[in-house]
Amino acid sequence: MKRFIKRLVALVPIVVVLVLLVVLASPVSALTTADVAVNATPSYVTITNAPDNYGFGTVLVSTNTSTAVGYFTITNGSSVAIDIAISCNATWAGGNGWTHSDTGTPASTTAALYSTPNTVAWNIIVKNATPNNLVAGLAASTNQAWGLRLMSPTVYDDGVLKTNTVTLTATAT
Amino acid sequence: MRKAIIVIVMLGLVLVGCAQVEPIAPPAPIPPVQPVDAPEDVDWVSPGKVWVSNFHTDARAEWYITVHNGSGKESPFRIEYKYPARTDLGYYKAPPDVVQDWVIVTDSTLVLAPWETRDVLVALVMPPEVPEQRAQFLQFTKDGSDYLVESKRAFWEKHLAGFMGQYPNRPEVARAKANETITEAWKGYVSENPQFDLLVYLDNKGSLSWELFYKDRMVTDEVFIGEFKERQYVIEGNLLKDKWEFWVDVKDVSQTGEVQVSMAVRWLVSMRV
Repeated sequence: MKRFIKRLVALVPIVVVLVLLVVLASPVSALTTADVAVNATPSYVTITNAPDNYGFGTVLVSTNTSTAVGYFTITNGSSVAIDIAISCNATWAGGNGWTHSDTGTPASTTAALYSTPNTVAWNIIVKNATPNNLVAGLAASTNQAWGLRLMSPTVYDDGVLKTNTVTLTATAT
Repeated sequence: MRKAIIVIVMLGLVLVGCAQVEPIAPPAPIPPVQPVDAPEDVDWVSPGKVWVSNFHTDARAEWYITVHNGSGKESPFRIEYKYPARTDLGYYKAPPDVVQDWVIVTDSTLVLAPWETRDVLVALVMPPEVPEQRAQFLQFTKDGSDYLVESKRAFWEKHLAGFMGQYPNRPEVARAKANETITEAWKGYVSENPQFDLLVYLDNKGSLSWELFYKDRMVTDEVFIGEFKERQYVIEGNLLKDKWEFWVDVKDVSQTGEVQVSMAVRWLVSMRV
């Protein structure tokens, strides 16, 4: 009997390993938790924008250079009304690069961008981390003109072309 | 006999292990909701909004996002968490330093064939334990942002007026001089003024957990936070109690222009009361 118990005890680690293998190898439930409800409506969201670029040309330090207020046009091709957020990269590429100011405050090798939904007030800061809304409630199958303003850095440290990418993000209103 | 006992014991243990895999019968998987009459020749994403209700710790919420490639060429798409630019009334902007980790996109980089439509599973998974300092967060409001913008404008106008006084007959020179100095002066003013320094920090963060706030800032900032709360420049939310929102962004990364577009699915989450 003693020998049997010893053998049984010796088997325990093996059994534990086997059980663990079976448990760990089993797929974890990948479904919504039973008491949580998830719903959605069958809408779709799509936008286009044209043109897709603008060259500000050669700009002096500490200057504001703008497109026409309605230079770009967004078309809402969605099945629903949409909002459009505007954002950009955290840095300007090219040469030594520029930092992008999320507070709309240019500084030494730091540029800022502002936008407008086709009004004379350039008061929407184009940010990287926390995007602002450019347009709210744009109805389906309608257009929205908009413009972009560059506030150049107060100091340059190279003469290399700089670029940034602005992204317009559409969401259902 | 002994062998039989060993086999029975082992079998029993294995069966017990198997029985623990799914203690509760999960609901049936929800098929993607396909939009009606969606166009073929443009990129689109569906649905526009996903509502999650009765959410709680240790819970998981899933939905399929449908992505369509509207071009006649193979296109790569990136699907990822995005901080919301706005929310529905009554919803908070969830702090990205916490919620970003809870959003799981099963296939975050897709390559779609011409005009292909594909469903991608997105899951929101809340951990079993969420410490109070991670659950509670600050959100910078439009009032706070407006106050910062107005303060900056007033600062600029004051300095511009000084240069106008120096160059009364040459306003273009005064403006150029002002442009050269004002931005640096504003930065200096902010760095020496703890109240504005904190406002700029909050403006940059949008919303953040108390955990991140304490990690980044001095405890003395709590005095200013108290003032900002009174003025409604910041509001406090709680991920375990309040309604909150985040976005899942879908972008065709083959775009080459400097102005690009993306489409985001809004996720609106209501917690279990």
